[in-house]
Amino acid sequence: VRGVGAGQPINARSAAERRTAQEERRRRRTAQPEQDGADARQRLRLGAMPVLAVAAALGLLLVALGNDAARDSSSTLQQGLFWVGLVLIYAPIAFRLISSAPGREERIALVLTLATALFAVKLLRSPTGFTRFDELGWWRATHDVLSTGGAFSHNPIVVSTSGFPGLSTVTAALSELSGLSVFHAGLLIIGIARVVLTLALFLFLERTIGSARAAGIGVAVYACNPSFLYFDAQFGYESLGLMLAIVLLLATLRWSDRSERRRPEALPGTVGVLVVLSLMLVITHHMTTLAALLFCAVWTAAILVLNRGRRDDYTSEWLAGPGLPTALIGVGALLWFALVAGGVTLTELGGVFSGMLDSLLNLITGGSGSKQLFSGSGQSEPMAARALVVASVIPPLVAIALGVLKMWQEEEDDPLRVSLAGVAVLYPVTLGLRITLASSETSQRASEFVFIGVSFLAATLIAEWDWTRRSLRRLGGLLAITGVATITFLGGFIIGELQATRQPGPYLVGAEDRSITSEGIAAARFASAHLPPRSRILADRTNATLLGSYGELDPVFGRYADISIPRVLFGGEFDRADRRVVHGQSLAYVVVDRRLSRELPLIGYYVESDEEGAFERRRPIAIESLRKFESVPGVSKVYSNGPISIYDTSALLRRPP
Amino acid sequence: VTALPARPSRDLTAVAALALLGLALALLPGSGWVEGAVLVLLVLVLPGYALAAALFQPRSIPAAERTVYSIALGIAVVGLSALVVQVLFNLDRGLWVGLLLAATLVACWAAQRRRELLPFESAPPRVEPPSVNPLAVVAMLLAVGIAVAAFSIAVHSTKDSRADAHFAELWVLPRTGADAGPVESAVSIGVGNHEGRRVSFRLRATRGKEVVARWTVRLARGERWQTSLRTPRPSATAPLRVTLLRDGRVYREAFLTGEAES
Repeated sequence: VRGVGAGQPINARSAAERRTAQEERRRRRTAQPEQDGADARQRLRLGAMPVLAVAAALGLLLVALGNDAARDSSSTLQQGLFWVGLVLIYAPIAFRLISSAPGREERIALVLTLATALFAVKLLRSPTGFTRFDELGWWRATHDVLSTGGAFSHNPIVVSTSGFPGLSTVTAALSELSGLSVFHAGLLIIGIARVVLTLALFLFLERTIGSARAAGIGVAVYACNPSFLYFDAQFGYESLGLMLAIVLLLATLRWSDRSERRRPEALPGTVGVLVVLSLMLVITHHMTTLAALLFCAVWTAAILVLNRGRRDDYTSEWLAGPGLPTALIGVGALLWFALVAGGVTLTELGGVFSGMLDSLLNLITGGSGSKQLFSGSGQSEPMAARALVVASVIPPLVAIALGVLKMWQEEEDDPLRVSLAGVAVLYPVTLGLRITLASSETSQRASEFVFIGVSFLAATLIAEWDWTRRSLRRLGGLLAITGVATITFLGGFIIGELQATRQPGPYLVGAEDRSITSEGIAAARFASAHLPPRSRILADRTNATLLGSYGELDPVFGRYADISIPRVLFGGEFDRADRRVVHGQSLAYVVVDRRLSRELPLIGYYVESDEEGAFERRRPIAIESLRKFESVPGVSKVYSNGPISIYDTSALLRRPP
Repeated sequence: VTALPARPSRDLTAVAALALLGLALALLPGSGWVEGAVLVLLVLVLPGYALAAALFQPRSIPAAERTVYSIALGIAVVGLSALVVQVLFNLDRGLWVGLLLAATLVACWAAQRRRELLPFESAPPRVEPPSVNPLAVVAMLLAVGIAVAAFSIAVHSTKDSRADAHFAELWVLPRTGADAGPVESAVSIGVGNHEGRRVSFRLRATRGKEVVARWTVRLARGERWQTSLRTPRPSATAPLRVTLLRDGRVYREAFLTGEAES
């Protein structure tokens, strides 16, 4: 690795040169990359972007054709169309971003094209309605805002929506005023959030590293995180929260610049943005709030440690730099947690973290084995996908190692850069969490945060590579890095998404999007039209999601009097314990989907992750267990569409068990 | 240093005018897509633009950064103001319009006040849109066209796969509020056709071994049929059973029963 224009190995640089390079970076960070409102009419230099946009659109066409074919079956050709489409979207733009030719305007246009095209991939997966668990939960939350006029309705599907109403209120406002459906309003908001996130990340990295090229590369690397393609493009609070957090970091960067704080024309604006966005972030998403708070706190601590003894730096000013957003987010989150969202946050995150700790402890003490890699409950990845996954985690690890080494050799003392490197170093830790099933979720959810640090280090390395060699070798280097980036992107997607849910296809049991069918939607529409709203029901996860959203009913999960509620569905006969559950939980309806007896649930469980037999079943639920409600005295079968039946159990509630 | 003359800025005037147009369209019934488009702007663009203009003076930050702040602030204004207001009022269409209009106009006024205090040489210049190479425009339009085609394939593919599921719904529900008394009850019986074609169904309601009613129902694709029936109250020993037959075979069955015997 050589420094830009230095022509000598970094470790051979003198301390003075290193200091000069760091000062130059700081100067470039504070410089305004452009000013709006230039007097002359300027020509927008888009370079190769329009051609690459056509390539990306062709990629989308291939993805659509691949998905179309996959709805009936899943042959190699159909999957091939999909994967070639993804490569056609990502690789040409990544190649151009890595090369040194484009100007700043073209790079911005390219990252926006990449963001839009990758968001469209998610849209092509389910273009007519929400199909993911979280999305349907947020559909319900938005629907409740529209129907009740309040922001804090209890949500039986995603409980935390009642504590973080940022997304649902904004979507409800757009839907109410524009006449758009909740689906279309949600798509618009998440699509805009995705584009703004990308642009804000570009600007943040540009100012941090001091190079538009590095910023473009950073965005291309960030798109490789396992959650980017689908999870963070879904209609969910994290998709909006991430955007708010990155914009907040951008404003924090401006606020951290002492010369900026002395400019009266920008000072109130920066403070205003920090205040408004901190509050909005706090009411939008818990994990992103926590991540932003921790990062700002680490950044503040790094300033205090690294700038100790320097009187000319902003350590002398209280709340200067990231101190102000740390205080704003910290106080806001504390109050919000104490007054509004503490319960739902503990319910959701507590379960995730305690599950992770339990599984890790069990693994250490030998109470359980590690997770079998590359396999869900029902499907295992083919060899090529496994190879791609292994190959995809190596480049980030190498980038982190080389990046940290380079910073060490350069005696890097910029607090922000050191903090970002600290975030990147968490990446191997998150990989380690994938050894157990419960901690995999934590690893998955951390990826969008740690990849900010990874993208910083990788972008710094690639952009500062010595590109002054002969053109042929330079081209080879560009192609090689583009290839590595593409492998990382594809592997990241495989890591982040179940094999079955990457593309549409025929019905599968317990397989999230793949379990949403016309029969399920019809049953939910029936419930919405004919059953009392908010009636309490018991159903498998897929039908609970549909009936809890489109059906406007309240699915019930968990335990009652130490009895697992899902056992009502699984038992061979309807016994006294089942009666106790129905009575105690006021279950008015039980929904039975006979297709559950066809195969094991792909995600490992039928109703909830801590039900009896979850992840351990060897045989699917017996059809006799599902048929037992036909002959339970007092239970009526009020609806049937073939696979799905709804049983009215309300008569059982009038008599104690 | 000379202050700017107190003349309204064009951009702020346009934003305020669009916000007021949004109010007018929201009050008028049935303005169609124009209303929708203007009100989308009122939610996602106008408050954020006005607030960013109030917070940052012209040319104080780069255009790309201003764009990012404008959109994020706009979304935040909607979310935070709704949160405060819903404590006192129900969030409905009128309240949303009033809230966003007020936020936009107040921010426009504040931005205008700040601009009036600017020294003359800092006056916001007339902003002209940058020119783009016509070939680039053609290429981007081509890209949009291909993307629309991809989306169209995805939509049709999804709808076709949904239509491939051929099934019918049958339901039978006690009609609350229409009960005739302790002996008789009213029930609602319905059928939904999702077979993807016109289908003729036969329907039979029985109580014990007694046939209470029969129907022949011919339903077009996607059509629903519903009727009500007065019968003796179903019981555990004599439930009301409704059977849907297609091509002479039992296709669906639903039943109402009474409370379980103790």
